Amino acid sequence: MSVPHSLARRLYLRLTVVVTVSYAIFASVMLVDFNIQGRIIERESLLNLTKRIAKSPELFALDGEVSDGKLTVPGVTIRRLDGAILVSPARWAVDAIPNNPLGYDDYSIQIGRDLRTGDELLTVAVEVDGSAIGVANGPVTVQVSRPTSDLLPVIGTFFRATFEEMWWIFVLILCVTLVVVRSTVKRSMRAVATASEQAVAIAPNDIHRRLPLTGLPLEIEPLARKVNDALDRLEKGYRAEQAFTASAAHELRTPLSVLRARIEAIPPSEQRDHALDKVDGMARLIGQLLQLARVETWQERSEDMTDMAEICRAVATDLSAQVVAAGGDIELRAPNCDTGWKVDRVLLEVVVRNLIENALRHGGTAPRIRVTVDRAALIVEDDGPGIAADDGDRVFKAFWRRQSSDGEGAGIGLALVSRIAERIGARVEVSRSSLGGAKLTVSATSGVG
Amino acid sequence: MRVLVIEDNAELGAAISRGLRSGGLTVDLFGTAEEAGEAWRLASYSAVVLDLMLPDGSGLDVLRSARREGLSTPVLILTALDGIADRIAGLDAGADDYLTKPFHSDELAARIRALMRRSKLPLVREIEAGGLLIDLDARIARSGSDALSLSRSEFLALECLARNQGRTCSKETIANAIYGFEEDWSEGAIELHVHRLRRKLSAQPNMPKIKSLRGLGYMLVPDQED
Repeated sequence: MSVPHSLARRLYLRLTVVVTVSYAIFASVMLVDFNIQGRIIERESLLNLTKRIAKSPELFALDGEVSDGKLTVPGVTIRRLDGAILVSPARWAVDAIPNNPLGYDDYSIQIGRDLRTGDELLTVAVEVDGSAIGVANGPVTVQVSRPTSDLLPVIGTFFRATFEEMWWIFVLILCVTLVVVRSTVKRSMRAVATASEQAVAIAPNDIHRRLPLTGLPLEIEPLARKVNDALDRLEKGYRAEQAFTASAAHELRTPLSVLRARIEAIPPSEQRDHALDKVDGMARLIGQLLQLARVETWQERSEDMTDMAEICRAVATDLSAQVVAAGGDIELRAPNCDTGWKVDRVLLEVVVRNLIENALRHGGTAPRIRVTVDRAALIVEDDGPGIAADDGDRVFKAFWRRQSSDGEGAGIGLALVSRIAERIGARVEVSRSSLGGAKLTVSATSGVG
Repeated sequence: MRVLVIEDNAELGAAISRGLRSGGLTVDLFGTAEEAGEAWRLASYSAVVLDLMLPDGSGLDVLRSARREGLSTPVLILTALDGIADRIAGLDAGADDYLTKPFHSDELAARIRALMRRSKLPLVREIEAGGLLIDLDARIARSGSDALSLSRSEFLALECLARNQGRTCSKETIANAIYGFEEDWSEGAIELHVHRLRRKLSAQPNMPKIKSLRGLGYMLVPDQED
């Protein structure tokens, strides 16, 4: 079923139905049993009555004449042995002609039918001396009948009485069932809840964590096991990508170092310097491609959250040697305290580094760079030619670079910046700086910091 | 001065050794973690150049075990990985500096010199900065035969800047060099010391300059020929 449902609720409903149905079946069986028992009791009572009539018929007003001291018996038919009716009951016309009551048992029991209403009748017959009751000389059969439908109200009453006494058993069984279901479900689900808590803790910084399998119901355990298997595969893939980045870095950069060392060994010339520049350009490209790969697979971790000002200070200090070596100047405008803008250290280091390196490369001959950071934004300005309004968006595309540029750089730096900004929900804009060159602004939009 | 170079790429190792030897250093080159670890323990080195990816293990493990054994030789890590996280892992393991491949051989040599300058090894008693010679025992900074007359704070600030030539020293770094742990300091006081120091340096020819980088700190740079 695709609709989400509560297992406990479904069990409550189904068990209530099951208990109710079983109780109904129990009641019907009781009803049938009462009927059978009722018939047996009725038969016994009729038999007793007829036996008493056979013993002392004079005590009963069988001939219909009610006189003192005699008991009236309803539904009595008196016949001669040949079947002729001598006394017929006021209410019934019995169709059953008794067998020879002088048979083995001294009485006969039959199911007859009331000729007027069609009701089923139970009739018992005995043989009596006719003179004793004053209807005839010689033996007659006395047949006492009673409609079986007379039993129904009795059985009904009895049945009702029984169930009125027993309803609480029904309620008790139902309650016990529901309580047992509730506690069973709750206990089974406790392990599931624990597993869920563990699942909440599975975060990018905790990719080795797994769902606990102990205590889970057998029905749910396979699910947890499969989820763990899936997490294993994800972790493996993640680690493989990290390992790839590391070994790619090694495999690409070590030969480049060798190349550089070889070129450095050549006596100084214009060509040598040109070759060294090319090697440096390639090294930068490899660095940026590796950064790109790392950013793609990087998982933010809470312990890597750092204040933006701290990252700017660290990166600007780090790159200040390059700036000064190029005869330039770099300035950091940051509050002495934290800005309160907390960001992922690894990702934002890439952003700040690329922005400053971009400013260094595209700044003037003695580049002046200004880094400003506060709660709301990071701004990196330079004194170079700036970025034309037309190129405003294109600079953020990978491998794009200005037609007139000197061929340095593959244009990955700003693409990386914009990709990371997008990832952390920040916005990057290009404008003109008061220093004369480009002004790149990374603004922390709501939700960041 | 003897430097241990641990680099598994034979050609690169040879190039590094060549570069350092031309700078007047003695170089021992090893290509595996095991050999290098053994050599480090046996000989006394002034600095170690350590590649991180070695055929028989990680350079970080070599570094960690050396630090555990109490070897305090300054270490420069040479690596293909350049993220801050990688750098922090290296520094946490006990490295003193970090250089990403490929590198300028001049820069490597300069960093090694800086490492040896910064280290508290007793053999480093003099620091050279441009035309300036700083004698740490006598607490004198002189150029040729002319000694600069510096106050204690100015001398300590100069020493700090000279130990970190080519790097930016924050005001805090300079304050830590001048003042004890419990002493209070203000940015204004540091600015004043540096201002006086700069004036004294600029009063004489061929002195290094103190470059101010707003918001970052100060850097001691050689005098440009202009």
